[in-house]
Amino acid sequence: MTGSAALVTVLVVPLAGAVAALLAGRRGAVAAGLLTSALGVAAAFVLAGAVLAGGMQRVAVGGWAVPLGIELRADGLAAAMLLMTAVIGAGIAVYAWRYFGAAGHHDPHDLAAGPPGPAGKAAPASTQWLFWPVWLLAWGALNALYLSGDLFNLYVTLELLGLAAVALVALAGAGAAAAALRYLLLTLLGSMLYILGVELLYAAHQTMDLLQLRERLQPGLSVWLAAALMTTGLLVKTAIFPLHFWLPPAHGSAPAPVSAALSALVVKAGFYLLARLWLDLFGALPGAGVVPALLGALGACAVLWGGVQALRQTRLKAMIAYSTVAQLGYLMIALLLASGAGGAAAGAAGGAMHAGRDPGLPPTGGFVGKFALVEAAVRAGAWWAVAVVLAGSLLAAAFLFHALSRAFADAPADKTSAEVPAAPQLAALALALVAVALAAAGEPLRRLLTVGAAT
Amino acid sequence: MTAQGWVPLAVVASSLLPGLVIFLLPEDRRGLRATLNLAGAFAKLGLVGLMLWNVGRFQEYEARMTVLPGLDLVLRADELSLLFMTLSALLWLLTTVYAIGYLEDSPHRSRFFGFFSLCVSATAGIALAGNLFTLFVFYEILTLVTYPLVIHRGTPAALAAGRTYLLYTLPAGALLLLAVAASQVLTGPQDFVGGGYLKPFVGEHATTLVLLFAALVTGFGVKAALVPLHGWLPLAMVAPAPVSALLHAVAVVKAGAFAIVRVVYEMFGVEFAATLGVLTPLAVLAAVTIVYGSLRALMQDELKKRLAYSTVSQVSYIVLGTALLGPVATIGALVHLVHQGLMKITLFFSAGNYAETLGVHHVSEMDGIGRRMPWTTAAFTVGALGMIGVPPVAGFVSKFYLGAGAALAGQWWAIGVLAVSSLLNAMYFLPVLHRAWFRPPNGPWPHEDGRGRDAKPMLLLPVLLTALFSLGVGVLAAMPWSPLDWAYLIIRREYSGG
Repeated sequence: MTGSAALVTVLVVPLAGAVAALLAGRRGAVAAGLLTSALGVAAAFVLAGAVLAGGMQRVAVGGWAVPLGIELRADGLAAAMLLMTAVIGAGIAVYAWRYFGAAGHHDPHDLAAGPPGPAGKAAPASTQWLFWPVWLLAWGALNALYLSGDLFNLYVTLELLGLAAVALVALAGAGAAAAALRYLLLTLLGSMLYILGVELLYAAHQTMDLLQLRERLQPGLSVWLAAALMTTGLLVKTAIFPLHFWLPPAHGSAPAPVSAALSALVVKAGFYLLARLWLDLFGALPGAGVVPALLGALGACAVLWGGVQALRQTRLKAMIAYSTVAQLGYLMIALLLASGAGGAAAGAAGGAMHAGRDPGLPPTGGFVGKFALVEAAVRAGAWWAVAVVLAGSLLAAAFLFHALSRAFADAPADKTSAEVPAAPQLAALALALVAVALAAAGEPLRRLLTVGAAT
Repeated sequence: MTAQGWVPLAVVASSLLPGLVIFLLPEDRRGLRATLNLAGAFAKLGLVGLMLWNVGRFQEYEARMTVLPGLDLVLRADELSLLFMTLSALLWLLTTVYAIGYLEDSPHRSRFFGFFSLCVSATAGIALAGNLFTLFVFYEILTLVTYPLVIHRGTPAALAAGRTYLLYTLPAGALLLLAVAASQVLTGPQDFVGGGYLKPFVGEHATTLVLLFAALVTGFGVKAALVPLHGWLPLAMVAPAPVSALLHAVAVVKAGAFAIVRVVYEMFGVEFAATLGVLTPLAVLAAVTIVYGSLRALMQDELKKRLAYSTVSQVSYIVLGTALLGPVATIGALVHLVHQGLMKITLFFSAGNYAETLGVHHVSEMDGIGRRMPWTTAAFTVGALGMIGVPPVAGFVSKFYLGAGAALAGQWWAIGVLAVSSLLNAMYFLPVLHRAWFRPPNGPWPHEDGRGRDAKPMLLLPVLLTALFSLGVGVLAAMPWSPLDWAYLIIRREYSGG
């Protein structure tokens, strides 16, 4: 398979899978979803291999070259994101298979023994299978986003992703309607701000292609206005403090596999765009260094605020939702450090953090990411960032152990019971596996990330 | 990775894999669980034996994995790591036997043994860590996997002890993260090496290096229970007896002390550390801890608490020996790393036997217990005499080398500290022995197990063996392959190479 064929395959597989899952209906959706996941992972690996061997891969859609047509490209960063999305997506698919497969399931993650909230109500079984087509659509949108090289195409994929994500939240049933509606309104607001900025840029420069824009970009009021609009829109979508308020209810009321997909993949897409914009496009503007600093400050607030709020929650899913808010804050700090000197290290930190959706304890990817982040911060002399990251990691550890101790204290002491609380044990197993995988993948991943990196 | 790189990996895996499998076992599969545990323990011991034999003949074992550019995970078997590794492999086997006997019919055994194995794996990682980053990673994993053991019983007291444990260890972990990252920025990728690697950086970074040393010693000192960072240890003894035994003798406390040894000798280099002026404060800190721990031990009536404060005191012998410049003091420190482990695990096993067999938890209840449980009490006596430093038990050898090292280093005050500490040790152990052997029992035992004999064989055998080892390493200290002989080997390679 050639590189360009792999690129197209990566894009088409999830979308075709979504259609197949929809057509397969209630019985066959699971099979279609799992099969698509396997194919998607394979295609992502092939593409990553092609990028590693042959550099950036491009496909001009319909044979029309830029600026008339749309070009899809995969550089090292995009290939790495696609690969991680595929691997995490496959994990989510397996998890969802088990989760939705269990008949009459209740949410095992609710620690509070109190009355069930809206999230406690199981989704009506008749609509559960819709998870598969919608999730595959979201995955397809994500892949398209990573492969897009022009601002309008990015808008379309972002919008598609947002709508799919809202649909995923709404799957939880009537109880989640309010959260889903709020999520819908905010994601639309974010897209609107973003497209306004794109219009301004297009009016001034007559192109939407990122590479061409970078060459033609003229500093001016309209560019700054565009940058501000697009950044604000993406901050809403990425749920960066103080625009994060929609995230905890939306994630907290969704079924567990959906929350996992949302916080591990969907919100990070907004961050990816933000990073592309400020590292590749607007970073060259005179005086542009202020913005990453501002974003880093917001990130610091997010780390601390999210950490404190996570500790105050009684439901595990709400805790995880707030810890996602904090994790996104780390990413913003990494963005700031990457825009400065230690680009590679901070970029690696961001990449590793993307892989691990955990409080940053060893031996997980989150831990390595946190370490790289602290190292980059020390190197840059950004002691405030060091302090924030350390404080944030303490908060995260505190909330993790808080949850763990509840599991120990509440565990039934009846030793004849066959049902032992499996969560901590399985978590330990998963951590070990992640450690091994990360150790094995570290070096090739690094080489992949350097392909086509903006200099 | 060298051709033999699989061996250190297998040493870590020999407890990790059984642990992970055990998590998934149902409670009533006790036979399979015991088999897995014991197979892992014997495999580990065998692999360590293989490495001991070959490292003694100058063969190297190293496994290296790159995590991020310039950031490697290194597992390496050298003389120093094997000293600690052998201790932990041996005591893991004995503690496993003990724990199987101790936890018979209690709930959540799969969970317990799973985390127990992970704890031993983390300790193996610490022992074999070939650079600071690896050491730090496993040190943090140890924090993670020990916590469930501390709160295993799930009682309010256990949960409170767990909270205190985290209150000390998590900030220490954050501080270490900063220190390790800073040292990575300062020196780039560096492996531990005899004689240290920081000397070339002293030019413009002297203050930074002093701060770095302080941060590392503080971070590792929490687990080593240096005063005033020791507060978690006496509380953590609410854990089941096998956990206390492992915590105090091998895993947690010893990991902290071992990490400090690594930092002083193979990161800074002891001579360079002396020129930086950081060793004297460390020695003073250790001396304060030694005396303070002994004084507090004197005041405890609860046996396990008395032993816990005794640990606070005894582990700082290792730190004191490390902080005194000179090969003889170093030998004292290294050999005490092993000797203290053997003696302390004997004492904790004995305390567990008293509690399990007769329900005796306090020193004041121990009158006449020697006649009721002669074997356990004999083992306890060996451990207690060793702690005081009576020849020929192991503790005497350590104290002798520490004292001689202090004299050679010209630090006469340290000899005073050792003398005072030995006196205090005698004051809090001899009355216990007197009660046990020479006083008549005062009434029925609090909670007899109804067998009318000494502890169960599964509990008795390990404690007798560790008592025997405590005696053996003292009596046979001059023989080849004894801990003392191995410490000499380390010193020869350390001081001639560095």
